[in-house]
Amino acid sequence: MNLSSFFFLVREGFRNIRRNGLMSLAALGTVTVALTVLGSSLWTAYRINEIAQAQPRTLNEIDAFIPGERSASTAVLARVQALPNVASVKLVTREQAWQEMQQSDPTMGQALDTNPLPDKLAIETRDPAEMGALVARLRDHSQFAEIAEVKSTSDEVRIMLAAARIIKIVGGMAALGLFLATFFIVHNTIRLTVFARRREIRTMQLVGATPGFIRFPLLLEGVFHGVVGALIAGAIVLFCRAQVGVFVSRFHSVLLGDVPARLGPVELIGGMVAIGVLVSLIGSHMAMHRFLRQV
Amino acid sequence: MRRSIIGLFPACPLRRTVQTKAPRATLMIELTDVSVAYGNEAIALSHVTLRVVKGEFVFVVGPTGAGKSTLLKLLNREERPTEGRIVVASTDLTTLRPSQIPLFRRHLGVVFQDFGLLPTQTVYENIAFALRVIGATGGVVKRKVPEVLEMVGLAHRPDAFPGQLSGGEQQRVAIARALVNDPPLLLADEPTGNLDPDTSDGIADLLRHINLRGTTVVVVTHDVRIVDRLARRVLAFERGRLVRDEARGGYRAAEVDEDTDTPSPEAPPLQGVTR
Repeated sequence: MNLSSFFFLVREGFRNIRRNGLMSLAALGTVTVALTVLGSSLWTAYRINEIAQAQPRTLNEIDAFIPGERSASTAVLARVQALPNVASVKLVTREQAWQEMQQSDPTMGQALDTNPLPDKLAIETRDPAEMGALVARLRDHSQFAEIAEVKSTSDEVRIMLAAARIIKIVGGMAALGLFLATFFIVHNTIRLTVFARRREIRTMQLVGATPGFIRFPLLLEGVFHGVVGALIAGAIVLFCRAQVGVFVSRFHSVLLGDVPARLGPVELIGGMVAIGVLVSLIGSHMAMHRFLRQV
Repeated sequence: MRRSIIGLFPACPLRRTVQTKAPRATLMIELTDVSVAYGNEAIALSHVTLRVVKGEFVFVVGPTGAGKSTLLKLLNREERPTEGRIVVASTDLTTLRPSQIPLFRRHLGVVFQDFGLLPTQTVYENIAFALRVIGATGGVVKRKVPEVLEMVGLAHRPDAFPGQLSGGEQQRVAIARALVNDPPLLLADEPTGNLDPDTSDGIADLLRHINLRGTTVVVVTHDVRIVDRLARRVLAFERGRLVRDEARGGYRAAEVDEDTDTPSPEAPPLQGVTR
């Protein structure tokens, strides 16, 4: 293809979009709706996963209090360390704890003559979802008689962390399903536009146009719908994201509070345009394949 | 010289043999024992053998379902024969690879009954499209499109869309598009099928004019009027068989007088035979 033909085909592509206005609008609308659903679903799944990933950094700790001798504390430390799903164990001695308390709350330190605090094991779990099982084990006196009390993050957190784990699996499958659904919607829409112009395509074939010559403007149209549809869908998702953010912030939730999104608006729009282009390119190509084979 | 001598002796046994062996270089279309069947029972064409030499004007006539349109589809390689061999413009269509079909079609001009114009493009753009397809530059398009529009009498309507033209005008645009690449062969499928008699006469005259410039023209038609008026070679089909090949025929077979049934010296002789 020479340069003159290339520019001609690019002009043809945009001219077709303009002249087949209603069909182009229908295709654009369908692509936009499909990409909005896909984009918002992917974004939601991504954010939930991101928030869940951020939780273990602050809320996967278990505190086990040991009121006995120091030797008992070190013995328990060794046994806890050997347990599965334990990432790390740190012994906080009663002296260290007393010092910390005096620094953080001096009045309390002055009110008490002696140090009432026991030794503490600060345990960090490997998998937050398995925290419940570990807490239950530590509270089992037949195994850990030396431990007087076990404190862990709330049930709310544990449920959320378990949900995050499910989201990872189900979300991935749902994203794939939605991607395929979007692809078929876009493919079908492009197929309808190609079908509406089948006589035009036949005429092109009969005057000696090569498949590539016929395909190029139609592919360009498909990509145009993909890009513009993705830009509109991206704007809608960004708007919804802002609105949901405002809504969620009213709950002042410690969980959702300050987990910043790693993906900014540019990355979000870029990702959606990439998906739009990919889906429309493959969809257009497949839609045309059948009609280009006929004559 | 040899041909004219033989023409003096219609009963000469050499006549048919000599006449069917036209030099290959002068042949535009050659069908040898061509059949087209759809499934086991539907026979579209049956053992058709015919030749059309360069510069001829040929009408293909016959009732609906006789095989006329199938013949045209074979000639532009929309279909392939079940049996036999087809050579068009020195290209053997029976061995033509799919990737070569677009290049082959650039040697043809095709005119359809429904005009086959691109509805979203202007008259000028429709014609220019056929040039763009072969990679013509803007300069060539600007030179050739007005020329061919002038030839078909539509130089004053380059910016009109097909929907704004009459049937006759749309057919003229289709003919202009078919001719803009200077093809050696023009195939027309019912070019006057949707037109009134006066407009049909205009299209027929245009086709004759194109033929006089040297283009081989094959017209599939039901239009008795133009076939009888132009009195050119007629190939008549019935139920897939070539039943008549007349050098200067009418739409319907004339009463044959055995004594005077000599081919015209300037028209091609009987070249089609069926089994």
